[in-house]
Amino acid sequence: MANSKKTHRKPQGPKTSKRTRDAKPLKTSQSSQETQKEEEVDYTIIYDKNLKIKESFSLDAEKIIEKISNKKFEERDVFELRLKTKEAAKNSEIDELISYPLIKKRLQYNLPHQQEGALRILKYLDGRALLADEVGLGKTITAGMVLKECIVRGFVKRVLILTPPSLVNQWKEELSTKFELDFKDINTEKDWESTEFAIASIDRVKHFNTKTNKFKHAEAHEIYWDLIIIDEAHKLKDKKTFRWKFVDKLQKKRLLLLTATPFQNNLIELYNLLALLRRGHLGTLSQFRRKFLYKGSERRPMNPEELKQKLGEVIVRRRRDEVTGIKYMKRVPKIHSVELNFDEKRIYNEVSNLLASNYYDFKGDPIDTTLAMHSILPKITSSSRSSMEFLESLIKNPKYAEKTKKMAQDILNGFKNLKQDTKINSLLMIVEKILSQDKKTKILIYTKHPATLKYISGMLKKKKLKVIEFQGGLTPDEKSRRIEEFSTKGQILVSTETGSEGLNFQFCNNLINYDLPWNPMAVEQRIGRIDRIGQKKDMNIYSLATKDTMEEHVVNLIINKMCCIGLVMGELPIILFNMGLDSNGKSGSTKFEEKLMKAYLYSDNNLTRFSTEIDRVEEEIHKGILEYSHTQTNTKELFG
Amino acid sequence: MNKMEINNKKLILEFFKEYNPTEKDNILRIPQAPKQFEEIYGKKAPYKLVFSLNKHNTTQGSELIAKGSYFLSSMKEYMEDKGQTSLIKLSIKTPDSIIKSIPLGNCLVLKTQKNISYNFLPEFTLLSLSQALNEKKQFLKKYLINNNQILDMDLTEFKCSKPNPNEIPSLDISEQFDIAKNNFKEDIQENILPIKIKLKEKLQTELERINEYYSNQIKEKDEEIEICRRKINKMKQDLRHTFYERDVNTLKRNIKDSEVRLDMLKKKGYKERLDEEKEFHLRDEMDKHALIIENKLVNASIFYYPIITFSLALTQKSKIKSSKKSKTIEIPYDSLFKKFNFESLICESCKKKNIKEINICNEGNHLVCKSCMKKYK
Repeated sequence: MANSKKTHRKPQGPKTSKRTRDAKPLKTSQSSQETQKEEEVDYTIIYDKNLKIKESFSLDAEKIIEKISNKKFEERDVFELRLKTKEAAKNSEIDELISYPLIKKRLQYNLPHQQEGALRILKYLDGRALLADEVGLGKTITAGMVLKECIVRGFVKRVLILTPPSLVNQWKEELSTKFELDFKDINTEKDWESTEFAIASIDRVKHFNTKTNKFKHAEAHEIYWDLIIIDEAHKLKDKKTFRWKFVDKLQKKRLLLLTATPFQNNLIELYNLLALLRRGHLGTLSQFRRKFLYKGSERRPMNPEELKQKLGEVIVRRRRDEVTGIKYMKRVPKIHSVELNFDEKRIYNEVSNLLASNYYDFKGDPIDTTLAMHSILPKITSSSRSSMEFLESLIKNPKYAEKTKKMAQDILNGFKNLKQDTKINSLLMIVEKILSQDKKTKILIYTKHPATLKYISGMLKKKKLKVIEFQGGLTPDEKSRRIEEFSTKGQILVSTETGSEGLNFQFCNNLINYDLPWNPMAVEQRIGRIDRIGQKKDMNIYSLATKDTMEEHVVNLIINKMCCIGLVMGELPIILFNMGLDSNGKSGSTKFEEKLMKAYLYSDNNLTRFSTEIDRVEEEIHKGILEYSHTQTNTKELFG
Repeated sequence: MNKMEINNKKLILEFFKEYNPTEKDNILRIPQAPKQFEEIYGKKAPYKLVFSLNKHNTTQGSELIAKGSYFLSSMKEYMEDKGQTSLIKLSIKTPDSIIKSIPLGNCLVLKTQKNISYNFLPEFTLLSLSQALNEKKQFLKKYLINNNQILDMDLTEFKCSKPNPNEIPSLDISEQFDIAKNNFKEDIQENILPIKIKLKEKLQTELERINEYYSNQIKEKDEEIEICRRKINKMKQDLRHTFYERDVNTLKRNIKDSEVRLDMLKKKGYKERLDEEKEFHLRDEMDKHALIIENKLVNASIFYYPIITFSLALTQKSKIKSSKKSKTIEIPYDSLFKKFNFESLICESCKKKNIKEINICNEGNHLVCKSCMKKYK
């Protein structure tokens, strides 16, 4: 047996240290062995015909021998029991997911295709695969199962998850609540070294510094990752992008690429994706072209059966129609137009006017509302209560000009003198109508602001309805208690976004958006609480929109043209990600929100101008949706 | 229930015996568990356990204990640092009549006395865990050492009595451990051979794929350069036979473009770059297919048992009535191996060690071997 020589670099530090690659020439045929001592083990690395064998011996032995010389003995029965447990727990081959009992209760639903997928990836694909299940089948859960199984079996210690920016928190939340795994965000280059379970936005870490000719996060390439998961991996279709190059340079034992649309327009994109998984699996690019592409067409494969077979060696893909146990319910949009009375309308216009032309600082200089708008606009469009709260804080704040404060005070007085609140009356009317149709039904009401939440809750309680409040800051026990209350005797849950992330309310099919975030991802999150596996009825998505205001147009765009157009849960984020609209812009809000805000500022309170701008955004979104649907068709054609 | 299910149940009963497990309708209920176990398992007791899949499907809230179950892994993890050392006293009874088997030549025993001391045998239990790709293999072996040799003997067959650490001195068993460790390393090699063969085959396929891919890449690049070169030569030849200014200019421009492209292809150091990339991917596969072997000493035990030293007062058979003299000798008896140790018996005439037959000289006070006795006669 010919062994080959190598030089070994000592791993830097104990457990949490990064593992460096052993520099070993492959072509020599001499034997090599080097012994190293780490803190707890002494180990040797031998190369036997390129097969790397790392053998270690725990230094615990010395402690045990010392115990003997100190006459410290334990009962023999304990040792015998230990041997028996070792034997019973022995499980050499992966025939089943031993971690499944740990997670099954948290998953709520047992969908066999998820377990089957995870097993296939581990057992037959050695943990290097493209998971291309259609949207809605729970790729995240399947990937989580692979991850948990590897951890429980002791295969992985360092894991990296790369996701689109908008999905980082969602991933963290799912891993924490469903798999009890805590992942840490990578924000700076220094975070890599100390993070064993790392999660990062791929857009953040892919940056390449052309001056230094290095990736900003090159530290990631120094680490040997036991498992890397990349969500929405279709973005890695282009070999020339820094995104692709960043991933390619990562040292990894297992790699899981997740995408529902591995093939978009061009088979070369699929080739590039697979090059990350198994270099040369489809031959060189020229060989691939010769074998699988018609000249001049890069969309239809020449030998589809052979290509399918090759793809089957690295891809796991299931379609929704072949998976049992999941029922997809419809979202029925119901926009309720709120017609303000004369006084309300006047106040609304005054608030808009205040922001547009009377917003001055204490020196008398006009304040640029571009950035402030992101926090102010949602408040004034939420409810009279949150508008008043905003005005009161403005009046008390010394940084504003007296003239501005005076105007705010006048508007505030106007609010206080209002005889009625049309928006809240509309809500009460909707609630009454829903309950008159089915007394036992449950209603989930969302608002952005705690002040509005209190206001709504108070008004509903006056009507003797069983109302539960849900907002940020509740302890886990209190949260559970309130959810339990809502699912049993409660009728209405009034909630803000914060605090209800990751919760399941699939037993409820009525959702009311009292106000609407200008971020469609946030709206998706709201709807996602009821649009989950287990929802048995079509969902009524009510949204209140004040007539003849910008809000009416935004609600129409987000609800009617984006969130309720028949997409499966999870598809809209992909579309926005593909369009680059889900990452944050300079204001800190998403680029989509910035678009709307820009339209608002540009319109200068002119509704016609604003609606034209919104039409443009709508057109852009429509194009993105069409492109996505086109991609889906292409993928279906290729994979069946 | 099949054999495995019965064994799992028995093991769990033994594991939780101090926590009053109860069984009803084929469900084993564990009301309490050690805190450390609860932490490892990630769930507090009580536990409701079932051992067959059919039962599990119909019993809400129960946990199925089957092959590879996490409950069993948690039990294993809980036991991980327990039972590392043990002391076992072998209870071996030796009848006094055993002295009848001592080969006495011309003498007989006048008086017998016995002293008890102990012999110590260290036993090492070593565990090897081999991991390759996504599979693990466990190999466990015990090594009993006596006189720096591996002893092929099962001491569990013997009865044991309550050990007393005061009966043994402080023992340094490092030397014996090294013997066990070296033997274990050899045994592991035999054990992992099938894994190594399988891994090598798999790795070879992967390495060949990468090598082929990169050699083709380089070949294609070389061809591209060659095609570019030929194209330039051809254009240069055409240039010699072209007279129209417009065509000349076009050719010149094309030659220039192709030369730029050729330079680019050569300058980029594509071979070096591809070699570097190839090396990266080859290593990636080697790391992926690495065989990781983790060995550890699971337990060190000391077995001890009595060595009876018989003190015999001997006299010549013929002088039993007349002589008052007697010769006292000491013969240790190993109760485990059931044999006397004659090594300490030395013929006081010829100084021969380990004498096979015990004789007393005519004077009655010397121990002599059989052949010296003949000489005396």
